[in-house]
Amino acid sequence: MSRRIGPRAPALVVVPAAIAFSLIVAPLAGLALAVPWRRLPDLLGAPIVVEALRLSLVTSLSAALICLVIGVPLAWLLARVPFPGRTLVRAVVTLPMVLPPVVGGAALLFAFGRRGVFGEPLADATGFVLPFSIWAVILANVFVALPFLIVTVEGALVSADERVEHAAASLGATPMRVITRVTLPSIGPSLRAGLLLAWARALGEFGATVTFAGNLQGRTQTLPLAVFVALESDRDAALVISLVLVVISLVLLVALRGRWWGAR
Amino acid sequence: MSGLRGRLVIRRHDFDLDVDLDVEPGSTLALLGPNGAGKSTAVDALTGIVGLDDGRIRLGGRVLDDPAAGVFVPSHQRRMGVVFQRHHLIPHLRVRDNVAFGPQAAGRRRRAARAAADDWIHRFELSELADRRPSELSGGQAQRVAIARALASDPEMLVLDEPMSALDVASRAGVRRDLAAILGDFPGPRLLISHDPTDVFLLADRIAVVEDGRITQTGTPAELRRRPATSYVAALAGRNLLRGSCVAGRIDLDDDDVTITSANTSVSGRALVVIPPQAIALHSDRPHGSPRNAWRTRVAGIEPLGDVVRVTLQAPDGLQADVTPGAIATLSLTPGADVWVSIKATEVEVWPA
Amino acid sequence: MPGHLLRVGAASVVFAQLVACGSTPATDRATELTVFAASSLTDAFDEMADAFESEHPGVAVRVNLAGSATLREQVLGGAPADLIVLADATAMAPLRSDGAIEGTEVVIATNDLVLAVPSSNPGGVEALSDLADPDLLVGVCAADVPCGRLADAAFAAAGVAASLDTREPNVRAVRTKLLDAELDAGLVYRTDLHDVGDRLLGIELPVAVATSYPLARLVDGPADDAVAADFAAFVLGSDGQAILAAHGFGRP
Repeated sequence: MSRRIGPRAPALVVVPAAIAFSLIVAPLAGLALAVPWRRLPDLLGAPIVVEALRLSLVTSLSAALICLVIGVPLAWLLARVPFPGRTLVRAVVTLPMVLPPVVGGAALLFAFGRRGVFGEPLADATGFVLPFSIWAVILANVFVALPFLIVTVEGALVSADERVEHAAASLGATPMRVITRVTLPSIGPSLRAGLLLAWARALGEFGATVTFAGNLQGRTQTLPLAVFVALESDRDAALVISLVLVVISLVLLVALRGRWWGAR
Repeated sequence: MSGLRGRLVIRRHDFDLDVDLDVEPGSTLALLGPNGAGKSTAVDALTGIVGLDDGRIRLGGRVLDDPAAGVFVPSHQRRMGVVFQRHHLIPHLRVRDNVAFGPQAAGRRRRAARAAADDWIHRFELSELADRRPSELSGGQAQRVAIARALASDPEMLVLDEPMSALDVASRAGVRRDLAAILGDFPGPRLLISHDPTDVFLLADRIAVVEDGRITQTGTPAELRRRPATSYVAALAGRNLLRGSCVAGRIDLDDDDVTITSANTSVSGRALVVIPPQAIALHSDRPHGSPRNAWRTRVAGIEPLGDVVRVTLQAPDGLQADVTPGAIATLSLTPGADVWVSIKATEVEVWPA
Repeated sequence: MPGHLLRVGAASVVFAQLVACGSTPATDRATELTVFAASSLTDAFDEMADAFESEHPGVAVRVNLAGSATLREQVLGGAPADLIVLADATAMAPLRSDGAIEGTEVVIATNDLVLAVPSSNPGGVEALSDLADPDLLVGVCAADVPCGRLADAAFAAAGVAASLDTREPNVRAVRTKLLDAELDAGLVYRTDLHDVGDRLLGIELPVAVATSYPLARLVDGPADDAVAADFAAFVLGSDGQAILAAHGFGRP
C-alpha cells in the first residue's frame, strides 16, 4: 500500500465542513427513511407519478435544448462582441437566477398571459393562449434555466484561447465555421455542464411553473408540482415523487462531475 | 504580383503605431524590435484581427484594408498564412485534420483536403505524428505542424509571428531549418516578426526595425550591421554571427583559419556561433592567464558608437568588438594596428545550424 | 343563499362546550397566544386578533396563516400553537387521531363556493354547465385542498363534466388568475369575492356546496388554557361573529 501524503486538514476546517455536508445529507436521509419502500412499486406506477415524470422529462429536456439553441449564441455575443450596454445585458441575463421563481412566473404572466403585453396580441392574432399549456411549462423552465447555461458557456468562452480562433480564421474559416468547428468543440465540457445544469434547474422548477402554467395532471403538472399537491393528501405518493426527483437529479449531477469516486 | 504594400496606422490611448511595410514577392522582410514596440499590433492589423485607423494594406492586386475607402477584408478572406508564437493548433483535431482545416475551409471535400494535408505532412516529415492530437506533440513538433498547416491553406503571403520564441533551444534548430527551407520555396511575400536578431539575420532578406511604434531603420542585414542607426540596432546588429563546424565545443570557422572554443559542448556538426561584441577583449600583448580563445589579428576599422567604440577586426573577417574610448588610447589602436583578441569560452554561444 | 346546503366531508363537528367557561379575562403578565388559521380567514382573523387584544390588555395574539394541510402538518411536526382553525372538518381528523387536540372542535363559521368570472366575462359564462366548454379557460383548486374537494363535489352534484385547465394549489391563486382575466371562470369561496369590489362577478351554483371552519385547542399549546378558552369564546361571541359576518362568512 502506498501512502499518499497530502496537506493535513485542521480541525477548524474539518468540523464546519462536516456540518455543511450533514446539513445537506440529513434531509435526504430523512426522505430516504420516510419513503414507504414496500409500496414503492405500486406508487411508482400511480398515474400521478407516471404522468408527472413523463411531463417533467419532456418539458425539462425541451427547455434544456431550447436553452442550448438560443443561450449559446447569447453567451457568445456576451463573451466575444463588445457592444454598448453589454454589462447591463449580462446583469439582466442572470436576473432569473436570483429572482424568486414565483416572481418570474408572475412576470411571465404579465408578458405572455392572455392579457399580457405580448400574450394579448398573440391571442388576438392566432387564438393561441400560452398559459395552462405544456408550452407555458417549457417557457417557464427556459426562463429559469437559461441563465445557468449562459453563465457557464460564457465563462468558458471568455477563458478559451481566442488566438486559436484567429488562427482558424487566417486559414480561411468563416466566422460561423470558426464557431462550429473550433470554438464550440473546444468548450465541449462546459457546453455539457451548462446543458446539464439548465436541465437540472428546469427539472426542479416549481414556482414559475405553477404561477404561469397552472397545475393540471397530465398537462402541466410536473414532478415538483405533483409533490406539492400530493403533500396535502397522499404523503406516501409525495415521498415517492420526491425520491424520483432526488434520484434523477443525483444521476444528472454525477454525470456533470464525470468521475466522482476517488479523491478528485 | 506586386507583393505587400502597407502603411499601418493604429491609434490606441497609450500607444500608436505608424509603419510602412513593403515586401516583394519571393523576399522575406523581418520586422525586428523589442517587446512592446508594436510588432503584434502590426500582425493583428495585417491578419485582420484589428482594423486600421489610417493607412492602407494591399496584397497583390487586392486592397485588404483602407479605412478612408471603407474597405475591410475579414481575416478569413485575406489568404495570409500565419504562424504564431504558440502553435495555436485546434486542440480537439488530430494533426492531419489541423493541416486539412485550411483546404476544407476553402471548400475542398474531406477526402481531398486530407490528401492535400498528407502531402504537406509528408514534406515536413510529420507522417508519424499525423494521428496525434496537439497535446501529444512537443513544442517543436507542434510548431512544425503549424507551419505545414499555414502552407496547406495555400496563402498568398506568409506571416511568421515570433515562430521560435516559445521553443526550447533543442527544437529551435529544427524549426529554423524548416523555416529557412519554406521561406526559400514560398513564392509570395513573407514577413518574419521577431525580437531575436539571430533568427532575423539568418532568415531575412531585408530588416525593418520597429521601436516605439515607428520604423527606425530598414535595410539588408549587412547594411544594418555596418551602419546601425540607433543604439538598439547597434546592440543587436553588433552581435557577431559566425558559421562553422563544431565538435565537442570546438568550432572551425568556415571563413578563416580560426578555431573557437565554447563552453557549450552539446552541439556537433554544422553550427552557428554568436559572440556579443562586449565579450571580446583586446590586448596589445598576448593576454596573461589562459583564456581558451586568444589569437592575433589586425584592426580593420574604428567607429565611435555612442559611449563605446566599435572596433572591426580582420580575423575572423568583420568580427566586431566594443571597447571604451579609454582603451583605444591605452592600446593606441588605429586601423592596421596589430592586436590580440581574447574571448571567454563561456561567452561563446553555439547553435546547431 | 338559494338551494340547500350540501355538507361536504365528515360532518363530525360537534358544537362546543369548550367555550362557555368564563375564566377571568386578563392576566397581569403579558401573555402570547398563537393561533393557526386557514388562509381564507386572513383578513377576518387579523381583525379578530386586534379586537381581542383591545379587550384583553396584556395578551398578544399571533396569527399564523397558511393552507389547512400545511397548518396541520406544522402542528403534527411539533409547531407550538394554542388554537387551530381549519377550512375543512376532514382536515382535522389526523390531528384528532394523533391526540393533538384538547377537548372537542367547534365550528366558528361556514363558507360556500360560487362560480366567479372576471367582470368583463370574456368567456360569456352564465352557469356552471358552461364550464364543460373546452374552449374556456377554467381553474379550480387542487383536488387535495378543501376548496378543490368542494369544487369536485359541486361538479358532481350538478352533473357537469368540467373541462379544467388548471388546478391551482390554493383558492387565492384561482382568484388571482381570475382577477388577471387569465381564466374565464373558476370556483372560489364566497368570501373571496368580498373584498375585490366589482372586479369579479359571482354566479350562484345550482347546488350549493359549503364547508365549515372547525376550531380546536391544542394539547401542547404554550399559552394559558384560560386565555385560549377566552379567545375561542370571543370568536363565537357576538363581536367575533360580527367580524366574520362582515367578511362574508356564514354563521355556524
